[in-house]
Amino acid sequence: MSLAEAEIEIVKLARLLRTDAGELDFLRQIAWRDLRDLREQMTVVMFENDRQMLQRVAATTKLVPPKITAAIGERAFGPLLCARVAGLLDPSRGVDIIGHLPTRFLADVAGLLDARRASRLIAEIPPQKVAEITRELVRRGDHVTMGGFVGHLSERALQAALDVADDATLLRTAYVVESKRSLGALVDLIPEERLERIMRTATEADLWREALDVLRHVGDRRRGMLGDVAAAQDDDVLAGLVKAAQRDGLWADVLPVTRAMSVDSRARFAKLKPIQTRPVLASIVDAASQRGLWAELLTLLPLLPAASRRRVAALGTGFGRSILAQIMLTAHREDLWAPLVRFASELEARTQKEVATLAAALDDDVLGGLLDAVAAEGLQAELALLAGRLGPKELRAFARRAPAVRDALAA
Amino acid sequence: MSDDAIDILEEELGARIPEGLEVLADEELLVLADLLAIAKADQARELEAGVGGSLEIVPRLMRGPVRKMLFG
Repeated sequence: MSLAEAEIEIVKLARLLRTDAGELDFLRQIAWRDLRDLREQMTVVMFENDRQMLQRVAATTKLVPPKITAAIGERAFGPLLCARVAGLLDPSRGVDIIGHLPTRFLADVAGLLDARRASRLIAEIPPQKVAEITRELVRRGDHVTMGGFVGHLSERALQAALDVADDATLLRTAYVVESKRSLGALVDLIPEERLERIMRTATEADLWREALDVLRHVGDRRRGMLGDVAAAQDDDVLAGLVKAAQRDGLWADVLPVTRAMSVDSRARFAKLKPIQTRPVLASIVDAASQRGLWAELLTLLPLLPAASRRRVAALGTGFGRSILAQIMLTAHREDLWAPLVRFASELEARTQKEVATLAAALDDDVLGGLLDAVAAEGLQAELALLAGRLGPKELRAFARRAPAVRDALAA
Repeated sequence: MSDDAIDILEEELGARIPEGLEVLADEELLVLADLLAIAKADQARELEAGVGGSLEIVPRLMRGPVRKMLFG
């Protein structure tokens, strides 16, 4: 993700410095947070350098009628200086002036505006005007500018912008939204039928990377809701999601979505045909391993078809003791002992012995949680299988600590 | 990067550069410094021209007060 964010920062920096983004290609090696800090520093310089005069210009707008101010802005100052002055205007006066400016000029200004500095003005722009400017920005494919405005527009204006943007534009814009925290509010404004259409567009226009980025940035509740909408789509739409996740390495974004969705949705997702191949399952396990998404994997595992579970178990053969310990810690924290015990019972003997050894060494309260889950879910046979991998001495010690182990073995 | 190139960019910025930029080569740091210097100069020139041009658009009756507001 950081590469995309770096690219966005470079585009914005290039606009600030009035050069082509290609001229700043050498900045791609820099972390986006440093680029954002640099852009902020340069923005301050550009404002501070002429602050006095910019403030005087802003002050004259109180004296001159909006219509004439608009003409001055368009004919004498141009979009760049208008963008600099915008943040210094009294918002209601600014809105009056905007009302006299042509849409194309306003779209030019929008592209050069630092939205954070003109937030109060942006919040007061009427929805109709926002829709007109958005339409022009959509025509230009200027997603970066539109993305900068999300989080500053009023709810009604945001709705008006949503209404004139097509689904692919929406996905591309959401991907470059500056204030990712605003994505939740944006999602709330989109009716379910449109969300379904957007999911289809993600497959048809190959925009799942963008769609998943939205799901990554919204809270669990919205992530679950969006996950449910996605899981309800036709197989071809979901196949597009799996294909994109596999090709672009996006499983670390997909797994949290599967965990947030309803059990029914997760079951549907887990049964998708494209998921069941060894390379896809390997990528899923790899993503879980690299990002510590064990809770997500343990939630998904029981819903996979038996053959796929065995494939995952075969992949688990390579787990060392430290990874197994991490998984067990997750099972304890997230109350996921039952899927872990079931999964462990499908591993090969050597890894089962590792799991049993770790289980035998668990603290009393953690072991208590494991045994409670075994009792509640009727997993005594699986527990016996695991415990049976221990050597006689370790097994006796384990059984002494946990009578449930002895009972399971006896049964 | 050398201290000289960093100093030149920091002088244009009026601040310390973000740490991550220190991996840039001298010529890259100088490209940033040059672009910023040019952008500042262009903006100042356009502002001056814009202010001058605006007085031609302001109705004659308002020019005095506007001029006073702009130039004190």
